[in-house]
Amino acid sequence: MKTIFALIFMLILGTTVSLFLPWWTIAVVCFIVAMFCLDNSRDAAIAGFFSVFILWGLVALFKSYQNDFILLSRMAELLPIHDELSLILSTAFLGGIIGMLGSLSGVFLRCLNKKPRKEKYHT
Amino acid sequence: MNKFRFILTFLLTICLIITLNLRIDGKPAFGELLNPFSGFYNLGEDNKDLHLPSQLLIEELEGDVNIYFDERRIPHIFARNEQDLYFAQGYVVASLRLWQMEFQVLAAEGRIAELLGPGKDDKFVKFDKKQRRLGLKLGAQNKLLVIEADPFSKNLMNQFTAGVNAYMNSVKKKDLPIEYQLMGYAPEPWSSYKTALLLMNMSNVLTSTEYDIENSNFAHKYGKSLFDSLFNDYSDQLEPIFPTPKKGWEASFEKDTALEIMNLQVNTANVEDLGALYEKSDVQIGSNNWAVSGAKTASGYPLLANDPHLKLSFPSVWLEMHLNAPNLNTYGVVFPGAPGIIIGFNDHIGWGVTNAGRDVKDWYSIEYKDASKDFYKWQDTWRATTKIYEEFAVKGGNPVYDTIIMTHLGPVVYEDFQTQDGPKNFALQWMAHQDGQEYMTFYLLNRAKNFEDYLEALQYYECPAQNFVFACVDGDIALRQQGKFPILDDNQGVFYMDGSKKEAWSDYIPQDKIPMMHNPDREYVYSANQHVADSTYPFFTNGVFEYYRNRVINKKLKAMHQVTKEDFKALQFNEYNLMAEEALPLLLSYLDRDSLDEKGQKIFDVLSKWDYINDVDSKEATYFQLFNDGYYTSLWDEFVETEVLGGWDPYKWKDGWKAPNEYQTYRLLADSVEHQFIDKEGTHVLETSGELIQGAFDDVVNQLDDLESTDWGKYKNTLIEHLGMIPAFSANLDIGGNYKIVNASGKFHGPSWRMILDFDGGKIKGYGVYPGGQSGNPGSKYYDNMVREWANGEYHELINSNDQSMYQHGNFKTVRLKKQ
Repeated sequence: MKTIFALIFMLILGTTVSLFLPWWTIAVVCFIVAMFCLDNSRDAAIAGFFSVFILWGLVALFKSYQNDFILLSRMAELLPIHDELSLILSTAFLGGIIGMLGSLSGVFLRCLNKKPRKEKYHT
Repeated sequence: MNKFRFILTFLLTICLIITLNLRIDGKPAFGELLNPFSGFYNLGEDNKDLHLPSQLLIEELEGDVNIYFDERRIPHIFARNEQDLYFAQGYVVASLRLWQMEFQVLAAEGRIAELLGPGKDDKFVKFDKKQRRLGLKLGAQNKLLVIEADPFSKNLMNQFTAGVNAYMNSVKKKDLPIEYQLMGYAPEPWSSYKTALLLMNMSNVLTSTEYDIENSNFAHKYGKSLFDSLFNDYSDQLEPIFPTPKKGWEASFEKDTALEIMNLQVNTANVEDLGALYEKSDVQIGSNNWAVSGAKTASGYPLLANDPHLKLSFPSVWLEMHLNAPNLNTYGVVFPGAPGIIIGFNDHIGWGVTNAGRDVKDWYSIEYKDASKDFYKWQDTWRATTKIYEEFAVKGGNPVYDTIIMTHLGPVVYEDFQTQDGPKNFALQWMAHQDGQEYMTFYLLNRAKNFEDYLEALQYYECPAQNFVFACVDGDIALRQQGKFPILDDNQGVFYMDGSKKEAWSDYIPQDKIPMMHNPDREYVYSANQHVADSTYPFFTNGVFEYYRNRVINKKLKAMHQVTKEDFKALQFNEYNLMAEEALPLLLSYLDRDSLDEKGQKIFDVLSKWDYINDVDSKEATYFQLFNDGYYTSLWDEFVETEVLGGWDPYKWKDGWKAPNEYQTYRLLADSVEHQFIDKEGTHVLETSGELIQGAFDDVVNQLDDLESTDWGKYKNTLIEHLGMIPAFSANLDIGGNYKIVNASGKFHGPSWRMILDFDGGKIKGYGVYPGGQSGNPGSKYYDNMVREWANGEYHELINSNDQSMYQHGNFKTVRLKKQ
């Protein structure tokens, strides 16, 4: 549940931030959301990866659809990926990796801060 | 452990982001490019929307400007005064073609290495050096001086510039054309200088029609008389643009005929290994235009047609536009980057251009006094040089420096040019270096109302010389070869000259001695890059001319009566191969059908029955092209780069050499002229023409199995190439035609704009199409939407109504530039 909540939060905040700030700030969003909302690396990886995967994939798909896929097919030839769907998936996957890394860093930092207290508690 | 995994992931994240933001090895930054918010996805145009908002507040305007974009995205610009009109034109052109207009100019200026790095084998550095040495900047600077000196033209250019810059300033980085993202640079502010560079670039494309050094090389090695007999440029068969007037060309000029063809006398090298000479104007560049008077048309009013043949490219070299302001209503095509309409019509007149092809580039050998190059030989003494220091930035490398030596004739372009007699230097004198107010011609033509206005407009036009065709609603038609031409000695410009003996040009052909036809008795005028006049024209002319297209046009026009625009459409799309009609029977006559094998006989029979139509499905056209290329290259094997075959460039000559063109070649064959080049190099036997032709024919037969298709269109496979040579943004087409044919759609060149004007009822109706689209954005459906129609020979009606309410309905999208 917490994972889904974080994922949606990343999606909404990520969209807003991406509209106005440089593209890589999506990683910062995932980092912050993960740091505050999540506490284990599995959840962080899932939320981070899928939020940006979905966000980038959908936006790429939507913009290409509006454009009748004209530019998408030219870019697929240029890059060369040679297949429009693969280009959208690659885009989404790249976004996913960035989101996942940001999110993981966030949760790891949180654990880092908690750890000393936990250690104290145990001793 | 926890600290470690945090640091590791954190660093990994940072590194990934940084890497994705870096351009590595010239590749785009993938994060920038692929993220769907600011990357390329963002540039795919929403096909329902216009590329501009419906209202824009603009500080610089004096009044509001309405721009109506039609279904093909042609802007119809309505301004309340000229100032605002040219501002809006600049704004709209930039909004459609920003990358193209800037890239063309940066290339002209020699700044490609600055954008793209040195390139493979330093090719971009070499390109830049060539542009600067040829003096493109120099010419643009001279033109700029004239623009700046005249308050009127200065203001005109400034308005256009301000419009371009207003658009540029309004664009966010992420909305810049995709080429900027791929190549990794940002646009610079526009200026009048850049417009001057653009016009200079056009001069370079259209006036590099000289072979001084190659000709000298030939004449030196093989003798002047052989040169004259092989490269004879005149024949009775030719039909020059301007027939000799009945009373002859009146010559009021004393000509200085004592040109010393120095290359034949003293210091020409035996130039077997000339260094690389810069490329010339492509022989496939050309144009057609014609007009017929009311006496020949169904309506009783004139008809006019024009199709300039340039390199086919994306974004297209032309942009269609309608400009309206008080006392001005003109429609046509513009060069993205220059104000006004270049080819088009208004409510009174229509005009079009073809290239004159005259040689206005002369080369001179220069001898320096010593290594300092401070002085060069002038008659019995020494003259001081001036030096221009060029520094050019190279992306990802150290700047490169070059010193250009200036002489009284022009810049020394080739320095330490390697010949067997040692290094030589060659200076270039070029009409395009001079100042000129060509833009004034177009400014005035846009407003011209009659023949007198047309003549007045043309007075400003110097270079690159053009044949301006004209027709008017009052029934006048005219054609004039307009340009500034130096008065040349016989053979001047055919061979290079001794720079220590020749003064710079000072006498020019007076404007009233320039050939013109106004309402001729034959009721039509036409030009297709053929010779301007026959050899009785009292001034020496030289250049690169066309031999076939023009004769087809002439024959058709002569026979036409009750002409309608449909006849003109058919003529622009005419695919009759006159060269084949003249050459093929001659070639076949050398073959013995009975001695051919079965396959050979089949091809022989097919070719014998050909109707000489180079249409898209023709197999004969492909056979003939192969046959022609095979014969041409084996005959002139001494001069032709044989590796570069494929039928597209029989003119790819070995450096420093030039062979006779195809017309001259077939005339030699028809006249059975024997010469030493018929013998093939490197064989022990002495070949005859018959053997060469038989060999070429056998090669055709043998090659056919290797071809994917022998259909002409598929074999030719016309390429419309992206200006930045990005294949994904280019297109291939299977279409008919070829160069030397009226429908001059060759492999890389073709009719870059087809226009027909019908003056029916004293009101001009235009029809036109070009192989591209209005938008320069590969992510727009308007990038290439007219290509198919162009390929099929279809036309659009060109709407130029004065009435704004015409444009205020559903099919048009309005952009209002509002004064702030």
